Amino acid sequence: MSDLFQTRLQRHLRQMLRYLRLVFNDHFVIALMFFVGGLGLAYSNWLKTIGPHDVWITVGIGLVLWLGLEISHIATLLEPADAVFLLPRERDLHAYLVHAWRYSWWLAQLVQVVLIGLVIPLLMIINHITGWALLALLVAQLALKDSQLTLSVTRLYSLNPATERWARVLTGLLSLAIIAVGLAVTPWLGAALALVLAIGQRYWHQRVWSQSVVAWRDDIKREANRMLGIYRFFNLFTDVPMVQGSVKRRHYLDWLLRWVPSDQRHTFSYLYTRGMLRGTEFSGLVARLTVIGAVLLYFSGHGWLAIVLDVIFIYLIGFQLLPFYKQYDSIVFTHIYPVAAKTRLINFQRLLRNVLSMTGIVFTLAFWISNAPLVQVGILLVINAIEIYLLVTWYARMRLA
Amino acid sequence: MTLAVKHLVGGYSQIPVLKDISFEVAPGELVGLIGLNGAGKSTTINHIIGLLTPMKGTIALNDVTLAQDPQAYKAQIAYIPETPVLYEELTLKEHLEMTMLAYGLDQEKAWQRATELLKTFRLANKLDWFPANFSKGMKQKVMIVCAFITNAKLFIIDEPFLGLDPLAVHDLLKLIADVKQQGAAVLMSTHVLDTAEKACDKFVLLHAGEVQTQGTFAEIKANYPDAGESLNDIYLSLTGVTRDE
Repeated sequence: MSDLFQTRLQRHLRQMLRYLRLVFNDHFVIALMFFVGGLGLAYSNWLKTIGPHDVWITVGIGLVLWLGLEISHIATLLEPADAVFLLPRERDLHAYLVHAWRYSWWLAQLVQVVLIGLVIPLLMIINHITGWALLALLVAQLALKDSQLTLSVTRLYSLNPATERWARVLTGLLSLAIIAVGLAVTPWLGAALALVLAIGQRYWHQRVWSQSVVAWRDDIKREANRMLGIYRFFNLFTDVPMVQGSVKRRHYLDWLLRWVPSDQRHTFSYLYTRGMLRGTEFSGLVARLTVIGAVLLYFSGHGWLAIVLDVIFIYLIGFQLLPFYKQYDSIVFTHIYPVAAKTRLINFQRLLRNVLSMTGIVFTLAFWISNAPLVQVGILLVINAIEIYLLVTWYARMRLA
Repeated sequence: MTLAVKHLVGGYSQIPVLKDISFEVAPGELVGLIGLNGAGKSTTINHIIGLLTPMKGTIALNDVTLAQDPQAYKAQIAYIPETPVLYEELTLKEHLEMTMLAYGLDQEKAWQRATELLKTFRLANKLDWFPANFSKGMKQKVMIVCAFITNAKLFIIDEPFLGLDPLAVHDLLKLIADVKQQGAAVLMSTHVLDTAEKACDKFVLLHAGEVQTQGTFAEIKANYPDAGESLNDIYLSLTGVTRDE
């Protein structure tokens, strides 16, 4: 079982590394360095303006530490098939979970160390906590995280719902109280209490797990949700196949559907329009790039830079929408409907033209309200029309037909 | 002949799965396409609905081939796949509307028919549901309703009996009988042999990419007098002979 976890962990880490490489590409790293540097500067400037014994800031620190305990949960790496294949070895699963626990523990505690590191300057200024006392505070925080993580391992087993709720509420409240004691009374007492809580949690876990069954369905669902959260994050930067766009009804957009003619020559317009409005993948892409482009245009000053930006953004949107043409290729009916492939392409071009025109109008408006000279607004409008015409009639047909 | 498959050689890659297959489906006839997993049933169906192009041989629907006039050919077919597939972004109602648009149906008449079918399959109150909320059986029923609102000349039904409840199976068989009455041809692949024996007019037994035998049940039984009494027995003894191949 411990081999199984190691294999999975390696696969997991390899996958994460692959995505991280995609996220932290050169440009992003530079942007991030500026961003973090800026934040650090702002923080240190703010530190100079505050005086000691500010009660509200102490309360704020306490809340940050308390909420910070929620960062990073148990990563079990369980998969849906496990409920079938590992079921006969349910007793042995604890060994697997202990490995998962250990891995998650280091990861979670690293976050807590960083968190404490960030609030240390504040603590030194506001509460005059220094030296060994800071260490005690760190111990308290780590012990609290440990107890919280132990609880989430215990919760992998099927507990009485009422017991589970009580355990969660009690652990949460006790953590808050212990943080308060540590900040308001003395860090040493806080550390001692936190250690007692952590040991208590571990004792309870030992008693509970051997008498309970694994809550397979909940555990697998929880792990899937955790992974989905990670994938969603990566999906902001790159395409993640595991994140399938979900479907939202979006009643409030139905008025847009009325303009689609209802006859055989527009069969795929019927589909494409609804797919665009209700899917999250492509509509999200258009919305994001349109907003970013409009904001950039607004601040770009007037002149050639704005026009270049405008052309690039419309091209980017049009270019990234092209795969939507093949979105329904895996559904057999797309091929067997008695509608010519040419008609389908024309239907898609119609959608592309409408979407890009809308973006073009938004861009022109953004440029206009930034007080650009009217002549330039006019030029932009003409350039948009020409670009959209070329993209839709020439480029799309060349790439898709 | 509604469907005429002549000397069809075909498959997914260079190596043909189907080796010289010929059979016909006449108007008003239900033909059962029977065969083991991998015998070539799905490949045959994929050729007929136009997803695959024949390497040799022809497939004609009322004397029209796919190459001659793709739209006229496709307009004659209604297809119910084995695994139901639906457009995630369309509601049940919109699937029906899309089908009506694609086949150029008269909306009013088609909706009349659709309303009846929806009631039969207990879907009438789920018109605004998305496919994500349907069970597999319900999705299959949506496929059936979409297929049977068309005026197709040929219905192709891939393994309809697994996943449907007994009531739905009964209703489907009745629908098939109705369209047969109106002169449509039906080609159905299935493993559920005792239902097939009762419902089908003729059978095409595929084995290893070849037609092993075809005809009415009486004809097949006459050809293999020692093979047994039911379609099940005949089928098992026919395929059992060649199991080692």
